[in-house]
Amino acid sequence: MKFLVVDDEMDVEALFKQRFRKEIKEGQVDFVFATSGELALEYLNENHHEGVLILSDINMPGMSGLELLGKIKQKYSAPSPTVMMITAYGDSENYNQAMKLGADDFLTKPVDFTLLREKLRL
Amino acid sequence: MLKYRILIVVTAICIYSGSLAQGKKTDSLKSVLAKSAEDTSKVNTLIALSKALINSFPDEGLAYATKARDLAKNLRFVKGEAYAYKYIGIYYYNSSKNTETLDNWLTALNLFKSIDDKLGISNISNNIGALYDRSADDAKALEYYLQSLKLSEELGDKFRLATVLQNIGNTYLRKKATRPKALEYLLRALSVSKEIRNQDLIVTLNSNLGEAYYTLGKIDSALFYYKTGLEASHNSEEVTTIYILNYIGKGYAKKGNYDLAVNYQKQSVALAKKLKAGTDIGKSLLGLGDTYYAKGDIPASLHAYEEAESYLKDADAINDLKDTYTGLTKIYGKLNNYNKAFYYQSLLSNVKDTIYNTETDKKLSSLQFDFDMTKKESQINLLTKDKALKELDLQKQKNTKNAFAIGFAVILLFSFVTFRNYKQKQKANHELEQTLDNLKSTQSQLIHAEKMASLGELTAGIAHEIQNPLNFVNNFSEVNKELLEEMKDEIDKGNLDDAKAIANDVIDNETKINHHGKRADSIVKGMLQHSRTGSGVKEPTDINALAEEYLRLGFHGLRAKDNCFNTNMITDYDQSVGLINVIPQDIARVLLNLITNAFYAVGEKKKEMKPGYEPSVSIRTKKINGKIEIRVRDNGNGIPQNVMDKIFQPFFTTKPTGEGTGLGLSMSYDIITKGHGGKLTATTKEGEYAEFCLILPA
Repeated sequence: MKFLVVDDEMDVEALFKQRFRKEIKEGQVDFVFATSGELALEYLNENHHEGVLILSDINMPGMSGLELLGKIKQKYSAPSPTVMMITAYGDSENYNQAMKLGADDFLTKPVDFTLLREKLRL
Repeated sequence: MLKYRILIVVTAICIYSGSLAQGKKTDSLKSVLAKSAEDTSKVNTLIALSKALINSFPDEGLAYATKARDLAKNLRFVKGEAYAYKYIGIYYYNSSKNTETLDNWLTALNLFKSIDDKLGISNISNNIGALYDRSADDAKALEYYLQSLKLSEELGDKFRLATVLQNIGNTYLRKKATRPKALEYLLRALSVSKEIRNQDLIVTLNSNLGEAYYTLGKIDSALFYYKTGLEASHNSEEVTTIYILNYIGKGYAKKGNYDLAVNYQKQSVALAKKLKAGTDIGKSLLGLGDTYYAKGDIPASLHAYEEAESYLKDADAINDLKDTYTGLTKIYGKLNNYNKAFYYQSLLSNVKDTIYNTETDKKLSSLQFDFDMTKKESQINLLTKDKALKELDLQKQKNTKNAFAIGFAVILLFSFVTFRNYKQKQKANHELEQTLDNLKSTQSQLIHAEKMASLGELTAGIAHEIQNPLNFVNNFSEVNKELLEEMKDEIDKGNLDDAKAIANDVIDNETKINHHGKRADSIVKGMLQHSRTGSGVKEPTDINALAEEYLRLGFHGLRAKDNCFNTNMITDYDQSVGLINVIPQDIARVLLNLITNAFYAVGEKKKEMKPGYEPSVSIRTKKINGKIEIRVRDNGNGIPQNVMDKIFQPFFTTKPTGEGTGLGLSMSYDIITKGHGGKLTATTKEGEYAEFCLILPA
């Protein structure tokens, strides 16, 4: 299983790598990181998007997570990759908008990794 | 425009000083005077002479009026005395001595009242109104105008009625809120002038109405009245006609009909030149220059402005000079002649300074006037008391017995009155103090409201900024717990190398936890500082870090409210800036204000959906000649030229009602200039960018 994590916070990479260190060691999962929406789209263009699960922050400078979500769901159809939003804003407006744009799930920061593991069925 | 209005007031005052065949009239009056005996008819002759001379030969006019006053007093000829005071007042009015004018006219008014001379009362009330009008005391001016209005209605004096209505109209015209009322009065004045077929009044009233509609932005109506005025004047060669022609031109220019506008304004210039009316030549040329500029005919506009400049300079007409320099600066900027543009820009700022100083002088003299008035009133009070005491003395001599009783009663009454006066003054004082207190607390409430408003913009950003570090603190600490469990296992197994590797990871994570913990701490501290009232203390502050922090907070704050909002953010921090001594929360407030304004500006422009528009906000710091310069720039729609002067004024905002307090920039300006001895300036190009530059001493 391949995950693409999109967040402008640099330490997110270290956090995910440590939180999933066992799964990474066992070759169960593979993580790729992008620090902006633009870089994430670049990655998806250059690589096969199938089988990639995207975890994206919403509030980032430049392209926002919601814009990224919209673009992914529009560009890659049948089957479109699973996109899960992770944000510091748990308000209903952000939630509704993410759902309208086709988000597959919605988590709030601070991230509960136990819950995330469950959702990812790891 | 101002000069023109005062001109009308003066004409209204000096109604009876007909100017035709003045020489002959004064000569015959002088011969009558030589023959007359010391009686009331001599007083009348002296007054007639004063009336004829007061405008053209003021000193002579004053001398006759003074003689008339003294003689009238001796003869106890009250009406004559009153008229004498009136003309003495006119002398002072013409030499701009407000206090002396008021003294004489109030004396005249009291004399007229003592003999119930309604014509005199109405006449002098109108004059006193005009005096207050000139000192910009609108309330007092209206009070006297309205007295005069009532009497002239009673007397059926149509001419006076028309002039008073006109004066009231022009007073109302000065304030935006009362402009509709101004129209009502001016229209009434116009219909009265038509009734009495006074051509001069019809012309000036049409021109007043034109001005009223012009300031209300109703150009078609303005043009109608100006043209009617022009027709009524039969193109007579007078100063009013110059003004009307110029404004018809301005009206057409506003409607985009430049050719017609140029045509009228050229006529205006030609007439002004013919009449050798220096200032008016300049004003009309300025109007012509503006029209050419709007039309896009730069060479013609340049020519007109340059000619206007020489006339206006000679006439020292600083307000018009300011507009001329503005025009010239714009033109030379357009022609890329930056030397000249700079030259005019510096002249412009000199003129602006002068205008500011003149206004301050005016305010000072009006304050002086108020002060003199209060002093006079108290002197009058003293005199009345004095008189009462003297009368008491006489009574005493006549009837000692009763006198004592009456005297006692009067003294009792007198002290009662004094006591009551004292009490009332005390009460008034108390009320004033309370009003002052109220004002002070309103002021601090306003400042607090502004702080809270900007805090509101921050809260969402702060929440976001705290959740992010917390995410790391929580998760890294949990990871560490797991890692330490693993480390124990490895130690038990004796794999010391593996255990060491895990320990290093734990240490790395601890560093991260510490870093993010501090990050959350500084955000909360910043928020507390931001909302704190009272004076802060200057401390060495990292300006670059402060700018970065508030750029992020501002961005996330706006993002939280509008998640479609987006912009490029460019930062360029000069590392040599180092620590500088400032009040951090105050500077942060200024930065936040400038940043949120910049975001707002690019957001608004983005909404226009122009293709290819990329919103961009930049912050740059730089150390120049030992000073720190911070520039916040956005590529929004810029600041319109006509509001550039106002942006640092309190309560000025271009945002829709309810969206801005209008205090942000004015508070920022105070913080930088008064609080830190620095400078805050703005530059802009409409439709392209706005840049705020903040200079702080290091």
